[in-house]
Amino acid sequence: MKLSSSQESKIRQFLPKHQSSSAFWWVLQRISGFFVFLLVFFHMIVNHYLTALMNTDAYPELQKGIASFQAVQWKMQNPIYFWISILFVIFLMIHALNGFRMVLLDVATGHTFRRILAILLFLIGVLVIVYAFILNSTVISLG
Amino acid sequence: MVESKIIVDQSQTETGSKPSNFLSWFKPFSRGIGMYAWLFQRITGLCLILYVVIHLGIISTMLLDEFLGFEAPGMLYNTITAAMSSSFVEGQGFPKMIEHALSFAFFIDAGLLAGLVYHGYNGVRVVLFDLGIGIRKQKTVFWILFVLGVISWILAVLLILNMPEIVLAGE
Repeated sequence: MKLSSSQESKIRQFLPKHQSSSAFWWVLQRISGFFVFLLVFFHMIVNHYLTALMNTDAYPELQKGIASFQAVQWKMQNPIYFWISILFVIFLMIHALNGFRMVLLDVATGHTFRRILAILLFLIGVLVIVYAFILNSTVISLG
Repeated sequence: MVESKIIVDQSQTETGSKPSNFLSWFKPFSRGIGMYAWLFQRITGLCLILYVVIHLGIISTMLLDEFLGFEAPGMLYNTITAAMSSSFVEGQGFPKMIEHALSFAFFIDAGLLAGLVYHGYNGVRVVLFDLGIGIRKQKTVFWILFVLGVISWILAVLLILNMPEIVLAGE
């Protein structure tokens, strides 16, 4: 398929390295929003509904309540739950921090400020994701 | 000149935004339903970010037991969630459902669910319009999703009222 030069320049706006255009982050906000929607639903149903229906005689970890430390530790030992929760944090951080940036872009002018803000929010996101991984792994190993 | 063009291109929303325009977000007159939808999308978004920070903070207390010298892991976390979900009218002879509804955790949960449902459903509406679906019927789409959202919220709140051991905000 042959693209015209105006079509090519439009497509180029969606590549992340072209930072003068925010089309990439705009699309990513929609995509991450879709995944956050699904994963919040998963998070709520699994943590607060499915575990509440389980037989506590068969699962003594749930005897202190579904929100107790023992229940969280028991759920974290399942690798599928562990990795889905990491994925949840990743999408949530993309969506929340980019959303926060969008709000600030409306009230803040100045090229330097916007660059510093973008770098700062990116670093916060990476730190939170790493922290979430460490937290999940530590919760499994405690006690 | 070039720099200002870059700044305009970087903005993901309206161009020509200035700090002085901030107060005009809250200008209540001669606005359509879409403007209020957008405003509440922002407010709920910011509140949900605040919630996520608090949520991560409470979960992080799981790591502090050894540091603070509690004997069993998770004691601090269990105490915090139990305190948050304890009723204001514990043991005064009220029905179970009312007793549970009058607790700190329930207020936070109901508010959280309302924010989540609004932000999620309005997000669906925004994506639909981005794809060009239903733009001509903006207001109808808004009210259909609004009614669906209210129904979802009521269902979720009834669910947590009927299962008193559920502590959404505690986690």
